[in-house]
Amino acid sequence: MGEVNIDFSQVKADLHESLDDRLADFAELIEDDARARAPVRKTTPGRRRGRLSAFSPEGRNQTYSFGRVTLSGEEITRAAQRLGVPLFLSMSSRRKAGKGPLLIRERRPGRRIKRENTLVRRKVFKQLRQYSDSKYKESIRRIAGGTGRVTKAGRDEEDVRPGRLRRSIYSERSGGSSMQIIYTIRAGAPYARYVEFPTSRTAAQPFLLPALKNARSRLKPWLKGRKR
Amino acid sequence: MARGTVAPIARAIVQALRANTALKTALNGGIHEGVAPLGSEYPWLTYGLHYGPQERAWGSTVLTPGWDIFVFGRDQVEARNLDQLVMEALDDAALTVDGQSTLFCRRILDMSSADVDEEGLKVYQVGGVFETWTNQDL
Repeated sequence: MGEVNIDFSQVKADLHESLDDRLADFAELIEDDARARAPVRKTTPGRRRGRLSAFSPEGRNQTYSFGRVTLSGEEITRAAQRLGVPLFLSMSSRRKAGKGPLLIRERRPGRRIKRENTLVRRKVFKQLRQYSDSKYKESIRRIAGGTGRVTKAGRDEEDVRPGRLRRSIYSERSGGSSMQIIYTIRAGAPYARYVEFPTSRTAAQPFLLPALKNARSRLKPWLKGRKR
Repeated sequence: MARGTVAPIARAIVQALRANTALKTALNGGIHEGVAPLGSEYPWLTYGLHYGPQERAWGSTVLTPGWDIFVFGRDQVEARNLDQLVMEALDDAALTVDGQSTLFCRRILDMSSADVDEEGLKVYQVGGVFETWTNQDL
């Protein structure tokens, strides 16, 4: 779903090693071009977002449960700051327990008013569903305790760095026959297609197809060994 | 003569879309470049330049831009029907482009996806990329 693949399967030639090498170089050229075009977020989310903290009407000593794991508000706040995207109890679970809404507040540098960050709250509930599985309970504890990186959560933490889309672009030999060589340029980030193509809320910021189309006129001279 | 840009091609595409009365009437939210403004009524259509390489040959320039054209609707059947009307309006259409002669306009890529909007309701996006080739003598 989240991948944009481009095959240039029209490239037919004798399967010759040097030609294959040249095509591999050419695919890298397109890959570099696509990478240069891929938009990168300018600020890190941590810097932009300010400090996140959990706030609930029950006060700071309130504990929250994810499946069988129970964490204190402070532990969760620490996990939130460590992960970039915090983990909290879902609204429906709170309602069932007869508790008021949990707000996730952010304090941005230079702003006096603390306000609820609804975008982050939405992410929180999404994450909670993912982490409420009991196999993640140890992971959640470790994140909250601040000891080392943890499987999936650790990867998510890494991926908060800007440039994920750019880093996810790669090319590979993806088959072919004695008369055909196929290279594929891929953007592995799950949201790549929503950047390449427009959505109902965002305009397109294409990076893959433009790189391919711009390379088209350079393919023939390149195969003849004239790099330009 | 100065070389042309993709602007007249975009104009020609919108003209061709508007010329299809059935499509024009059905698009309650209208036709927009890039994204539709917040609060637009469904269904709507967006168009935008996806890539625009220019190839220079002796005596002429060939522009081969690709255009994203998508229909957004609350109902998938409606969105697909409208997308079919877009196909009828644009695929292999003889576009009238100021200062350039049209070589062809064809759909080269199909895409569709579903999303959830701010109200929590599903939105269906159907469309694809059309490539136009135009030639301008120098």
